[in-house]
Amino acid sequence: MNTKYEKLLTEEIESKIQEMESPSYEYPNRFSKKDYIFTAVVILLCLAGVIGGAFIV
Amino acid sequence: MKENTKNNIDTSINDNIEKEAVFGIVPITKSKRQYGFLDAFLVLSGYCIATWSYTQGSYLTTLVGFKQLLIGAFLGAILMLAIYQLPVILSVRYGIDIWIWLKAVFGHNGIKIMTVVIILINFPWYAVCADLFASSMSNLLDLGNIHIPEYCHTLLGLLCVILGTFIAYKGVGAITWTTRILVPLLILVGAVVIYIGFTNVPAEVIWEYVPKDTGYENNIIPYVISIEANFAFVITLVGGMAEIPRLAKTERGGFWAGVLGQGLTGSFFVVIGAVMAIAMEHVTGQFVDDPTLMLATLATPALALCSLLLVGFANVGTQAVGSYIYAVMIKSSFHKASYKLLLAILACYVGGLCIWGKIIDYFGSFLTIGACIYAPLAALLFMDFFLVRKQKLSLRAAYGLKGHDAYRYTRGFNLVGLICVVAGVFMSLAVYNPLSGEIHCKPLFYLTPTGCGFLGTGLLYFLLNQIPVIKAYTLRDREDITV
Repeated sequence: MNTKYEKLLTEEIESKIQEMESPSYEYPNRFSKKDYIFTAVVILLCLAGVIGGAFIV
Repeated sequence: MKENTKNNIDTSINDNIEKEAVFGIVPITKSKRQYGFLDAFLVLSGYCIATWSYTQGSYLTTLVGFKQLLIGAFLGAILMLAIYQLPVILSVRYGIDIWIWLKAVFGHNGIKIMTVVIILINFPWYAVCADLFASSMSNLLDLGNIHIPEYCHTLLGLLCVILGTFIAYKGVGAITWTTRILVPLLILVGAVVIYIGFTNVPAEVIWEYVPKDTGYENNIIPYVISIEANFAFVITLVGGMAEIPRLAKTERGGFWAGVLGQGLTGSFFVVIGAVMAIAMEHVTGQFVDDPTLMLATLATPALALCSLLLVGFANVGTQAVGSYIYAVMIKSSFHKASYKLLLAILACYVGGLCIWGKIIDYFGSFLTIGACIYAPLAALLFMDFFLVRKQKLSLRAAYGLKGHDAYRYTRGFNLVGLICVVAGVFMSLAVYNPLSGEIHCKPLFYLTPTGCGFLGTGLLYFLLNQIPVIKAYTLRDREDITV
């Protein structure tokens, strides 16, 4: 990268990564096991609906 | 003096865009997050509606009845979205766009190729937009008994491109205002279309609608093609799916906002387009897939005049926002290119498609060709995030910081990722020819070409990464992971 912003950008990215590396940094609430299960149920229901749709006239 | 002022303005626009393109990629940390689920859902709903949703709805009515159309538009769309958008949680977690993660999949130079390819296959949407603008203006003139020759349609399409490009050239301020006007405008057009549709035909006519002739003896084939069209339609969002979720406060909120923004709101506008097409066939006896002609025919002259004007403005606005977003996207990969030059290239590309004039005729083919690339891209992201890199990335290497070269691979190209994309495209094409409509492999066709491309590419990438030498090549970042 050869722009005039290169140095500033590198500093900014480095500072954000350091902030995330800090033990006190709180990540956004994670996708939990319940979320994965709920998503899987939604996917299966939609899949069943799409397959069932083939038999509707 | 005047020349100097103009040059200063040009430099200022270019500088602002450069800042946007360059600094827009910095990770967003938790304290800067703005969106809860509802905010993100509303913003993404605005992002997912455009006048081409009506073209999609009209296209679907040529394939299936209204009940099957509803199933495909909502359940089919949510099915594909809920699978391929799952990696969006990485964007929420690290506050980065998926394109940063994809540097690990394609390499720093490979991602540049993918950016150009994605723009090549995505930008024809704006030719659809220009075509709708031309139709709305032609129909407006027809209402005033001014009949224009056929070639003027192309000129009107080009006018839409020029106006949109001009707004984009004015920079981020003009785009912000365009977006503020555009979203309510599109919602207003949707409300008008619903009103016109349901006041022209009884509800049971719409509910019981089935196409008279799909061109296929077996009803299952057009149904699968309609599901493919829905998969292809929603998977086009893969490139921009993380822009808003990376500002979300929770992974759950960011993910579901994306899925439901397109799966409910976007699909609702597709269904509106279908209702309009069915109403048009019921009233005139002719199947018409041009939503602007439907408005001109079915609405009262005053309402038609207003709605066609709204469609016209909405298309110019969509063109402007598209030109801006894609020019910034290219600039973030090609820093030296001038913003003005990038806008000109994009305008020439979409202008060429307008002059060709057959984008609407090949709408289904265009959808599937686009999905041939999007599906492998989405599959690689999914597999890489969940099963290969197991949700861990070297952020410093992804940003190409000095001394962090894990994602340089082979002269900047991750050969494994790129080979998988090419293989994925061939897998889709081996199942179905989107240009001729020929089905090459019926059992796999039932999975849809997009589904096959997605599953096949994902499986190939996963299996390749079980081979120790390839695994070592792909996972050279493990020593550099800090978050």
